[in-house]
Order: sequence, then structure tokens, then C-alpha cells
Amino acid sequence: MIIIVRPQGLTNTGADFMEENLVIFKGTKNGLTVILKENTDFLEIKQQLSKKVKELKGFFAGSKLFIRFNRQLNETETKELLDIIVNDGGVEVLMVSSDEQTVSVSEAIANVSEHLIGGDTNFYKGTLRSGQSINFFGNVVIVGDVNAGAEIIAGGNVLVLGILRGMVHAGVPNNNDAFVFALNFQPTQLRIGEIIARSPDNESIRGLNPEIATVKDDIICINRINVDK
Amino acid sequence: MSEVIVITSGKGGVGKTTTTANIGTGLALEGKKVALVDTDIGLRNLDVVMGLENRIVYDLVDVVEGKCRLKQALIKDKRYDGLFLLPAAQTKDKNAVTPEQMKKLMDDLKEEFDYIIVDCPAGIEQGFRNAIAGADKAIVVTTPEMSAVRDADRIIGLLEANEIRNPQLVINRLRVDMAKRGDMMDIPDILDILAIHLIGVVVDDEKIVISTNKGEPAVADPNSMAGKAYRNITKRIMGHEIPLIDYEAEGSIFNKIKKLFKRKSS
Repeated sequence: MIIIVRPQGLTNTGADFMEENLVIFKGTKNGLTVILKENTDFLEIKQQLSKKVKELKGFFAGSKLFIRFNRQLNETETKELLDIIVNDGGVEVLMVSSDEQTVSVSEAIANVSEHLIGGDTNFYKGTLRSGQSINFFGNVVIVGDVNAGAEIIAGGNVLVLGILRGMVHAGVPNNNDAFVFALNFQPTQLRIGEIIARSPDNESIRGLNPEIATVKDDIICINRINVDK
Repeated sequence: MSEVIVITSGKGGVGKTTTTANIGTGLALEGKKVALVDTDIGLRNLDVVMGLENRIVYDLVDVVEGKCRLKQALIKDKRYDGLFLLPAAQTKDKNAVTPEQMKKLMDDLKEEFDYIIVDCPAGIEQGFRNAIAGADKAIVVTTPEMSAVRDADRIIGLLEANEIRNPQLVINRLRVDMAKRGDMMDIPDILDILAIHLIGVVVDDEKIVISTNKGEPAVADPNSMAGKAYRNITKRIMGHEIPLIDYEAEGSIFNKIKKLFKRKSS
């Protein structure tokens, strides 16, 4: 199953390179763009790529990626970089293109769409306790409570079939269309894509009130879900 | 069948050492052979609370380093038959012992004792890791405060990650009047978050302060409410089903008596 990939860690919208950032990952709707710094020694690029991919290894494990490089590479170079991504990242690369190749967005989606069934989901049964953390590139469903001090960092949506008291970051790093659902919303902090919010200070609701959090006009809004429909 | 039970909490000052002393003494009073082990190396307290500090010759680190035999380090409590204490070292720190050494020590103790109660230090680092090595069961102690409950939750997660399943909970220093007013967390609030089996509730009792300072565990005092709670916890550890003390009912009796005295004095 192919997933829209959302790399953890920071990416900047422009190609805003710092000295050390020879390689930047940028998650897009149709895959992962690996932005390589211009006019840089290829060996250094390989080293940086290897380092970055290893850092993100847990996040990507088991995923299949659609990868684009932002510059033209010859076959050997492409193969070397892909090897690093596959071997050091534990990732299965599904399709590769570079800017030169005209793989249009629709073609790419057509290629992968048969596999797109909502995206991969990680299920966790039980209470997520303080200090525990779930990191996943797809959706996360917790069948239980999320206690204060616990955190969920997901590339997709997050559903808590219990009381949410911890911190959730859905739509990592920049998908503001992700949602967070919980049977009872009492999070310490809520983040969707690039937006952060915290609960109002005077809330003291008990009991199960299923609610869903989404981003509207760059603000996180929480709405009741009518269970009786 | 011997059991190693570790008493832990994460948060400091919630009553682990007091609970260890009272549960251990309680089990000895019920006729069991009990070893209390203090793993808070460098900050040892169990010896003080048990009133045995001036009888320490050898300690846990001496045993683990092979400087003495286990029997030489175990202090026999002369007041309670079958109760022994293995004190911690005060002049070393928690890096003096490894989890593997602790596990071996627990295995050795299991050959002699029915129950081994391990007093765990506060925190989640080396001291904690040493204390849980070789433990069969765990009792998590918390007070009815957000910070203590948060730390207890962390500890429960760590215990589960270390294969110590189904820890039991002791809620310590509960003040029933404050809980009724809503000024303090109540038992259901705590269980809502921690979601583990409750093995006992100990009320805040002045007699505990006196008992720990004197080195005489409250469990042996028939007039102490906390002592009574610990006696119940001891029986539950042994498998008996004892209902939780209904502090509401007790409270109303005390209130009635208080009102009587108020009328008399006015």
C-alpha cells in the first residue's frame, strides 16, 4: 500500500539552505521531493542524505515512496542515491522522476491511485501513558486513552477512541487538511500541519463528547459530532 | 512460592519507603518470612524508618561486590519474627550496582524468604532500573496530586515496557474532607487516568509522621487509621478480599463525636 509520505523533521517552503543542509526532504501530495543543493560535491550529498535518512528511519519504516529529485542526475548517481534511501531508510521506492522527466501529476496519481485506500494506519490498543510516543507517517488510531505527557506524531489523521489528554500533531509536516478525532478532547496541545492550538483555559467538561478538530482559515476548530444521526 | 514486589512511584516523597516498611512489617506479623531491600543507594531511608540504622554493619553494595555474605548483611528485626532488612549503602551512589547484580541478589533472596519487598528510589534512571531488576510484581504509590499522578503514569508505562505487568496502585495521603470539597483529586479521578487495579487507600495520618521518626511502623499500631489501611493492604497482597475502608462513614462518625465535644465545651 502506498502512502502519501510526510517526513518528520523540518522542511522549509523555499529552498532555504543553511550551510549544513545539502539535502532537504519536502513532502508533497504525491510523494517526496528530495531537494539537493546546487553545485555541491556529490560525495557530500551522499553523506548528508545518508545521515538524514537514518534520522528519519523510524518515521518511514516500511513505507513505499514516490520520489523526485530536484535536479537532473545521471543513472549512476540516481542509483546511488536511491540505494541510500532504500538501505539506510528501510523504504521501498516505488517511482522515481527528476524534473527533466515529464511525469505529470495526473500520471503519477494514476499510477499510484489504485493503492490509495485512505493510507496506511497504525492501530494501538490500550492506554498511551505519559512519556510514550507514537511516530508514524500514516494515520494513527488509538483504541484507548492518551494520557497527559504522551504524544502522537502522525503524517495522516489521528483518531483517539478514548480520552485525549496528551499532545497530538497530525498532518506532519504541512498537511493542514488532516483531522484529529477523540471521544473526549482534553489535549495539552493540538497541532495540525503547521498550526498549533491549545485548549481554552476554563474548560472542565466530563463525559464523552465525540469531537473532531480540523483547520479552517488557519485556525484549529473543534466541532461536535452528532452520534445520534 | 517466593515473590519479589517492588514499591515504586516515579515521584519522590509520596510514601514508598513508608509503604515498604509497613507492608513488610505487616506481612511478618501475618507469619511470613520477609526481606526488605533498600535500593536507594546514597540516600538510604528504609533503615531509619524501620529504626534499625545503628545496627548496620554491611550493606547491599558490600554483598554485590562480594565483600561479605548475604547473611552477614541482613539485619534481623528483633521486634518482628521473620522480618529482615538489607540496607543500602550511604557513601556510594546508584552506579555502584547493575541490574544484573540485583537480579542475582533477588534470586538468592528468593531461596530464603516468602516475600522480598524492594524500596525503589524516586526517578526513572539507574536507581529505578536496578530496583525493578528481578521483580515479579510492582506496587505503584501515588498521592492525590496531578504531579504525582503524572509521574505514576510514566512509571506504569516503564514497568510495562520492562515486562512487569498489572502493577497495583496504592493511593497515599488522601484527605477525605478535601476530596469531598473538590479541592483534592478523588479516587475515581486518579483511577480514570492510571487505570490499574487499586490495592489500597491510605489516609493522611499524623501518626505516620510520629512512626517514621521513631522507627516504629504504624501497621503495628491499632489506633492508627493509616496502620489499619496498611494491614488491609497486607492481607490483600496475601490474596484475601478485603473491602476498602469507607472513609465517608468513618468521617461521619468522627464528625458526630467532634460536634459532641464542641457542644460540651461551649
